[in-house]
Amino acid sequence: MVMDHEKQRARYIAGTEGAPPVPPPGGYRGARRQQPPTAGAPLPPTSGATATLDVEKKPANALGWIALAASVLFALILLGTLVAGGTDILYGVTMLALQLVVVAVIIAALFSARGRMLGAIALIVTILFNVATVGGMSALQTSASGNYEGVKSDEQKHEEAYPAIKGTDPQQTLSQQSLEEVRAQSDALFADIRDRLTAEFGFTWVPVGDEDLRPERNGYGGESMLVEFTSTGWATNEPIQDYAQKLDVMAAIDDVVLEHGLWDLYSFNDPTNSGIDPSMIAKLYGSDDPLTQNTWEYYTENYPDPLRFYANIYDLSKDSDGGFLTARQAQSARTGEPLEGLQLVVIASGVLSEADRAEFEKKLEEYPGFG
Amino acid sequence: MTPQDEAAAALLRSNRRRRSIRRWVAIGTLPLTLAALFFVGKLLSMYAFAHQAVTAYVVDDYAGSEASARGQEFLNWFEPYKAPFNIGTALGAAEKLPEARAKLEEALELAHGLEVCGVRINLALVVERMGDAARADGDGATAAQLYGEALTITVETPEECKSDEAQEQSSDPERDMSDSLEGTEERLKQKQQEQEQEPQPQEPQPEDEEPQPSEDKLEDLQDKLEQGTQERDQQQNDDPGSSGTDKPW
Repeated sequence: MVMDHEKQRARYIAGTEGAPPVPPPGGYRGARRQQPPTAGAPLPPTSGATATLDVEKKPANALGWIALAASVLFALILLGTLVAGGTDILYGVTMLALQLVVVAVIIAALFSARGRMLGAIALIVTILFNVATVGGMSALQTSASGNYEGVKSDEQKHEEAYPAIKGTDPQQTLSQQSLEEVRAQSDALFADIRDRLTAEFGFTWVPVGDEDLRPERNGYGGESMLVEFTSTGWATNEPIQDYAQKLDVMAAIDDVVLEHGLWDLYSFNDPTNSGIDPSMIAKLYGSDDPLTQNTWEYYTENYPDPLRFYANIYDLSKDSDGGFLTARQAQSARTGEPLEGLQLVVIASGVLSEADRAEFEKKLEEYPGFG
Repeated sequence: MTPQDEAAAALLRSNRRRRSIRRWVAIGTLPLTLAALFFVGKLLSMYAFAHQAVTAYVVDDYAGSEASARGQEFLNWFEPYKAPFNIGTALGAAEKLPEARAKLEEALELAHGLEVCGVRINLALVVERMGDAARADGDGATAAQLYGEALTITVETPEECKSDEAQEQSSDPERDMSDSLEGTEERLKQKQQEQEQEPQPQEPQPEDEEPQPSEDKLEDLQDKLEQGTQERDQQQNDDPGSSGTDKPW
C-alpha cells in the first residue's frame, strides 16, 4: 500500500516544479463537468469544418410523401405510355391535367417545412419525367416509325378502307382494262414494235428493269385496291443518232400503236407540237431544237382505258457538256439499261387485278355514294 | 460576452454571409436559368406541336393541323423550314391553295440540302392543283401557266432527292420519292400537252371550203385526241374533287 501511495504522488508532482497538478484520468470525483451545449445552441466553428445548426430531426409530413409518391407514380405512368407508343395519350388533356395536379402537390410540399425535402426530390423526378420530356421522346419514336394513327372516328376508319379512288367513278375502273389486260396488251405491243423495228432498222433488244406494281392511295387516307402498273421496259442495243432515222423510228412506232387501238403518238420534245414551254423543253431535253436534243420523248395512250405508252430516244452525241452522259451513266448503273438508244415503256394508273375484282365489288357495296 | 456567445455570434454572421452569397448567386444566375428553361421548353414544344400537326392532319383535321403548325413558328430557330412546310401542307389539304403555295415557297427558301425534296414535291402538287382549279374554271391560259410552273419546280428538284438517303428523310416513307417526282413530271407534261390541244374558238368557215384530202387522216386523229381531252375535262368538271393529283403529305 505504501508503494502505491508513493507511486501516485510521484505521478502528480514529478517534474512539475510547483505547477498545479494535472487532474487524474477521468477527472476529480464529483467535479463539475462542462455541460454539452443544449439543443439549438450554436457550436463554435472549428477550422476545416462547416458550422451547422444542430436541428432536431423531425419526420417528413404526409404532404411530402404524397408529392414524392405522386411524382414517381406519374413518371412510371408516362414511361409505360411511352413504351406502349401512346404519344397522343401523353399529349392529351388527361395527362396534362394530371401533370398539373402533381406539380401543385409538389409546390404545396415545398412550402411545407417538413415536406420540403421530399418535395424537392419529387420536383427533380418531375423535371426529368414529365409530359413534355417523355412526350418528346415518344414523339421522336413515333416519327421514326411513321406510325401516326391519330384518333380516327369510325366513319374515318370506314372511309380509309375505301377500295377505289376518291374522285374516280368505280364503275369506270371496273369497265376499263384490268391489270392483266394491260399487261397482255403491253406485251403484244412491245412484241410488234420490236419486230417492226428489227425488220426495218436491224435493232437488237434488251429488257430494262422489272415490272412494278405500286399501290394507289384512295384519297381518304388509306390504300385502295388499285395499283399503278409499270411494265418491264425494252431498249435497243444500238444508238440512234441520225435525225431522219429518229423520225422514221417514231413513225414506225406510230403505225404499230395505231394498229393496237392507241391514239396517234405525239412529241413532248418538239416545240412545234408540244404544249410544254420552249424554255422547259430545253431544260428537259437539252435543247428546244429536235436536231440538237439529247432526248426525244413521244407519248400516247388508249384513253379511256388506262394504258400510257412512252417511246424515248437517248442520244449521247448531242451531249454538249457531259452532264447528260453523267445522268445516263447513273441511270444505267441503277437499271443496267444501255446508255443510249430507243426505250419503250408502258404505265397504267388505277388498274385492278382480275383476282381482286370480286372483293372490290363486294367492298364497294359498303360505300354507296362514294366516288 | 462569454466565448460561447462570441462563437454563436460568429456562426450567425457566417450563416448570414452564406445566405447572402447564395442569394446573389441565385439572382446572378437567374437569367441563365430562365434562358435554359426557356430553351428546353422551346425544344420540347417543337416535338409537341409537330406531332399534333401531323396527327391532326392524319385525321383530316386540317384546321387543327394548321393551328398546331403555327405553334412551331414562334421563335422558329431550329429547322425553320418545318413550320411553314407543315402550315403550307395543312392549307393545301384544306384547298387553300394560294396560301399554301406562299407558305411552301417560304419553306423552300429556308430548306437546305435534302430538306428541299419534300418541300418541292408538295409545292409542285399545290401549284398543279391550282392549275386544275383554273382549268375547272375554264381559264386554260392560267392553267397552262401553272402547270408549267409546277413542272419547273419538279424538274429543278436536285438529283439527290432520288437517293436512298433522301428517301430516309421523306415525310411520306410509304412512297418512293423518286417515283413521286417522276410521276408528277409525267403527269404535268401530259396536262400541259392536253391544255395546248384543247379546242380553241374557231372562226366560221365558208361552207364550200372542203378540207384537203391529204389532211383527212390527220384531222381524224386530231379529233380523236380532242375528244379524249374533252371527255377527260368533262369528267373532271363534273367532280371538282378529282384532280388526279397525288397527295404525298
